Amino acid sequence: MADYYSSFEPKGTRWLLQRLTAAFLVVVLAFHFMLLHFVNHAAEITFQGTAIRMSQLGYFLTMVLFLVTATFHGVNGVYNALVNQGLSGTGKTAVKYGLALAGLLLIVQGVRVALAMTTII
Amino acid sequence: MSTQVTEREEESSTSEAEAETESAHQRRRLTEKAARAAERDAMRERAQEEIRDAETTVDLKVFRYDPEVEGKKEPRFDEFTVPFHKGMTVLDALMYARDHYDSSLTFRHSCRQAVCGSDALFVNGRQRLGCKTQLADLDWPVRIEPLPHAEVVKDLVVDMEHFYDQMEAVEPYFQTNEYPSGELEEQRQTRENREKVKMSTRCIWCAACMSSCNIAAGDNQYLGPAAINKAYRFAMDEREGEEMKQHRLNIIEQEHGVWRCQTQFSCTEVCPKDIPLTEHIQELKREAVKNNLKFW
Repeated sequence: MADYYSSFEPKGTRWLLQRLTAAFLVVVLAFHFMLLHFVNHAAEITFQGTAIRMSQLGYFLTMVLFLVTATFHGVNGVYNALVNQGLSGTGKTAVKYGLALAGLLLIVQGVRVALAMTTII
Repeated sequence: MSTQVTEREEESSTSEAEAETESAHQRRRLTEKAARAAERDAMRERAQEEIRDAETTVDLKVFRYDPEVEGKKEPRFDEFTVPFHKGMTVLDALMYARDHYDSSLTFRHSCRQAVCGSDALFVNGRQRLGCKTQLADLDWPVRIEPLPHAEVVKDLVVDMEHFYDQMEAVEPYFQTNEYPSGELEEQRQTRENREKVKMSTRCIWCAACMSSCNIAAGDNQYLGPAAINKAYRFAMDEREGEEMKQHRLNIIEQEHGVWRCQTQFSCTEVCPKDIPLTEHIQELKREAVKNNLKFW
């Protein structure tokens, strides 16, 4: 191990964040299903209803956080699954930045949509 | 079994050709060879008798492969019928097959009491110790293969080099720079601390866990359950001191150290010594996170 060099920061931060986002997502996902599949059935969802919900500050912030955590959890999960399968070298670097870019785009577009649905801002 | 038959045919044809230039040495060699062949035949006959007398017999399907022998270059399964007796293990059956049918059947074994870790095999689709697995507990016929995710050297023998490399990478020995003050003072361990590392000390280096691990199969750099368990055994040992613990954490918190574990528990399932490997790996992850997480 003495001659082992890596850009990897051995701090376990991503592992911890993966765990924390998982715990957060379980709760928010349950809330989402409760509200938008059982209380309000999928067929009854309207843009107006969405706009009303999204105009509440707490709900709006929860949904934005939902977006960010879900994106991180998903993208980081896919990356780690590929590393587990033995992905290394140039392929690994490409996948890393590819996924990071995809995640970033998802968040940007998600926030844009969220802003379009709210009257807060 | 067919390997041996062809071998013997070759032997007899060469011995005929050399018969004219027979020396004393050669004569002795050939007599010994004939004696060995007779012994083999006798063993086979004895097996036939024993099978006839036995109440129950068990069929083994054993993986055969040898890149150096013409008839065995293609991997295949050989079947052996072995008389069953109460308390018979997979290793007992394999030894019976080797002694009575085919002396070229190759597998590692030594202590026969689940301590040496030589005979980890893939029995009926699961990593088990041959000497610890009762035939009565298995579905028959019993299929015996070498450990998966390792290179087969011959028959049931796999190359353990990579496994030993990973074990060595975590420095699997006691080291400390904190010595007790008195000259003849001993390095005492508290009972609680001994209890904590107790299970992790039971590892016999059989590589069953490494073979069962999904991640280790795809990622050769991953330390693997056994090596991380070894690191746990010493990182949690209080006698090594804080500085040494830091050094150990530095090793296991690399990208291909503890973080690759996906808590699938397959290592814990197959461990013949019942070591809670996955829990140990998780505990080291927590240690590493606590060690690095600073809010100030």
